[in-house]
Amino acid sequence: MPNTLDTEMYTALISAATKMDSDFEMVSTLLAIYDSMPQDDTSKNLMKDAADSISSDFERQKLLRKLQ
Amino acid sequence: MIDFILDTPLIAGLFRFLIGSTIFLGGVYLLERASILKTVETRETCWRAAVLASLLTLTPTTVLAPLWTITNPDVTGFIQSLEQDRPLGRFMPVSEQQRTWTTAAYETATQSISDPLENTEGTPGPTSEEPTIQNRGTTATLPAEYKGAQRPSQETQLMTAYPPGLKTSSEFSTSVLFSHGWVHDISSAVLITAAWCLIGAASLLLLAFGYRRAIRSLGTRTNIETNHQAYQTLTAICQKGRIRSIPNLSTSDRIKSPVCLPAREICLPEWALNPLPEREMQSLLAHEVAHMIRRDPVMLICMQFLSSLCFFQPLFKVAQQRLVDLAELSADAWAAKHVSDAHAVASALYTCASKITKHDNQQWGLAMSGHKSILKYRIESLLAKNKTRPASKITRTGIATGVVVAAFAVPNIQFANALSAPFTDKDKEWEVVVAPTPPEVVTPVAPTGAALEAIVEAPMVPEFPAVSTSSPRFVVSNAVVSGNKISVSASESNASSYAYAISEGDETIETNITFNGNNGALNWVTGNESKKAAWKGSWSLNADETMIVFLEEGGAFGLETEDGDSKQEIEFITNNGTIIKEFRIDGKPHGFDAKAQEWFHSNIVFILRETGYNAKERVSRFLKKGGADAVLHEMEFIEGGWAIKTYAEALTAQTSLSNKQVDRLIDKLSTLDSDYEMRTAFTNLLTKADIPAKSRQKVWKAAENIDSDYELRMLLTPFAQSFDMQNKDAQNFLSLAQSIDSDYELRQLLEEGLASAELSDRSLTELAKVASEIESDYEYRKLLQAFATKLTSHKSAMQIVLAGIDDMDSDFERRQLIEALECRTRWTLKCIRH
Repeated sequence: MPNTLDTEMYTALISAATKMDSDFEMVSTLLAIYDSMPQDDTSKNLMKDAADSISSDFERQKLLRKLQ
Repeated sequence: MIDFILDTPLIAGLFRFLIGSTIFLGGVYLLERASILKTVETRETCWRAAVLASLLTLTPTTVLAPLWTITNPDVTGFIQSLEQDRPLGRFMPVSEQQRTWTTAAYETATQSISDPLENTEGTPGPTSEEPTIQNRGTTATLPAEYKGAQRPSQETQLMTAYPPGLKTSSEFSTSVLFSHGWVHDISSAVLITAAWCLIGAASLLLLAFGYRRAIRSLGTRTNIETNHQAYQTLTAICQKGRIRSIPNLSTSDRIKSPVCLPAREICLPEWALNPLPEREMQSLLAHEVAHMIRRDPVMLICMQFLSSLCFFQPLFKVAQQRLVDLAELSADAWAAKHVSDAHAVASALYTCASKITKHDNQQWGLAMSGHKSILKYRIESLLAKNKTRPASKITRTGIATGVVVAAFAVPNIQFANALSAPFTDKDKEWEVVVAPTPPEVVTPVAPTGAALEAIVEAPMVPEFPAVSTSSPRFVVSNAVVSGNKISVSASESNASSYAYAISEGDETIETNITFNGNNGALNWVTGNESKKAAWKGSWSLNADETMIVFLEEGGAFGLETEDGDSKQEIEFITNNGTIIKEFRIDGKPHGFDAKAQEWFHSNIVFILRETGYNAKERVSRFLKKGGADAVLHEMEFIEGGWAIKTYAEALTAQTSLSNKQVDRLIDKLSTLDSDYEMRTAFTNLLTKADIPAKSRQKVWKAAENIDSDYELRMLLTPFAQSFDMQNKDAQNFLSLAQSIDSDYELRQLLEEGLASAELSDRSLTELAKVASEIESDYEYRKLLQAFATKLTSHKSAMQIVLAGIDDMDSDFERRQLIEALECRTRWTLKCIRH
């Protein structure tokens, strides 16, 4: 997996992204990170948890479509 | 005159008057209508005070008055259009050429009167490609018509300053006066002012005709004999009212009602002299006496004058009417009090009213039954059982004072971007050329080495012959003497100037130095003392600095000093390789004796010190004489920052300094006011010389006085590039970096530090502490991206960057940074944009 982030960095970036107030910026960030998401269940669940924290249905759908 | 009226912000003043008068007069009207003002005295006091307060708003601004700036673009645009709009121009078109000549040529003609006269002594005037004129010490460009034209000869210069076809000043003046250019340029504001004057004058004229008609309507007046019963009654009233001067009493068959005239005259109608009940006659006369002692006719004339002049404020008419009515009520009250019979006064009033069949036009007089509309109210007031207690004098004085004081607090009106400094076509023609201020100063070129040695041994400079008064005086082509200022034309791209002012007690010393290639000038002024120098081409002095021994062929040098009592000047020019000099005192040629040589030496040394001219050669000479100490001693006499820096650079370039000498030099450099001079001087010192740690501390201490963030960053950059916490200067570096307010400059500086490959973890952490001072999320994010480059080499980098993300407020910047981090880690093609 040459194009994935290491777990520690991935977790830190997801954590930083979920602290954002703007749903748009958060989803844009998460979508950017998604491409380099480690392919383990823990990382996927972390992304799903992050998606759940999005208030806007519209923005959340953007991320969930990608996750499907 | 019209300029004065318009320059005084007329429209703003008029606005203030309109607002103020409306507030005061309208306010009193409303208070009266609302029955808040109850007594006649209070109402009369308020009206009079309101009229006075309205007039006071026309006075200049006061400290009490706040400033209201009207920024509404519609209003300011309208006001500006009043200033700039030329409505008559639409009906009287003027050709552009004619407009240019009517303004520019007049100015040029007046300027040229002095310009060619100066050159009649044989001076070849300025020869630069773009002709210039010195106007109040500034260089101004000529109108476009002059550009590219040959500079006229001295004889024809004055003539050619006029527009083509106008050969003499009288012809020119006549043409300007009778051309309709000035009519074309009349602004809307001037037209409005003129219209006001015309309508006001017409109203006053109508008023004057009204007075004339009123005099005629009185007919022939006959004085009443002193033994007449009416006169005796009048005398008795005056005695009772303690009136010393008994007014004239006359009668006229043309009037129907008694009237009080301005010149202390009471005119009675004929019917009043027929047997009239004694009490009624007393009432009638007492009423008119009351008008007289109250000076009501004068008040009425003043109000009529004011209403006519300020026709645009209808409230003055209202005030006039109300004051007349209140005067009648007051006169009734006075009469009732002195006759002690209100019924008699009411009866007299009724009798008068019954005699009037038509309205008599009494322009200035106050007839007893002038306005029938308030007759009923007057009679009711007289017969009222429960009369209102009259207002006390204190109350009335308080009201009047309050209103008048309020007049001074009416806000001053100003319109944004309007009426401040009208920019006319004339101004455009004389647009001032602003001197450029490039930071780098061109070091004058001077002979060195063998050439310098040859100069030192050059023969003495011959003086001008005895007939030197007719000798041609030089004017340095790029250095122009104008009034008390010498300046080098800054219109050329390679000119640079340097100026500074030093205050000593009450006196200020101003120095202005300009270089333009090998040409230069210095102007030093304090109180009534001045030193001026200007030169064209390079020049050098002998070793003792007592004489110019080299002057470039075609070059010139001039020096002039004034101390209030006398003026001394010296000029050097070249003639076939020979330098010729002329020394003058108060304009008269004088021998270059020992005293003159002493004068020249002291002043030329001053010029060398302050201009930094030939600094390298001078420093070299001083080093040979007394080493670095001699140079440092010489630097003590220099006040200009640029010259100090130049000497410091020359010193450190030519010799090594001892620790003591370094300290002495740092002390001198620490006195520099200019951040640029201090930074460049210290940078040069720190990079060229081996500075001991103790002395470096002095540099850091002095650098705390640098206000400019840019200069501080430039000073610290070399240290940032090799930043190491092991270094003794590290703490000073961090301390100074923290004092940088500009986020941009701080980011630029820290990025220089992060570029170092030798950076330790501890150094990175210390730099991150300084970075956390950055307030701008954009700058912080850019810097954190630089920290992110250390992710693989420094363990602390990850914590620094993640902590930085938390510190940022902007989600956008957070996303930008996270994406950059993600890219850097994955290193995909997407990362190119980061």
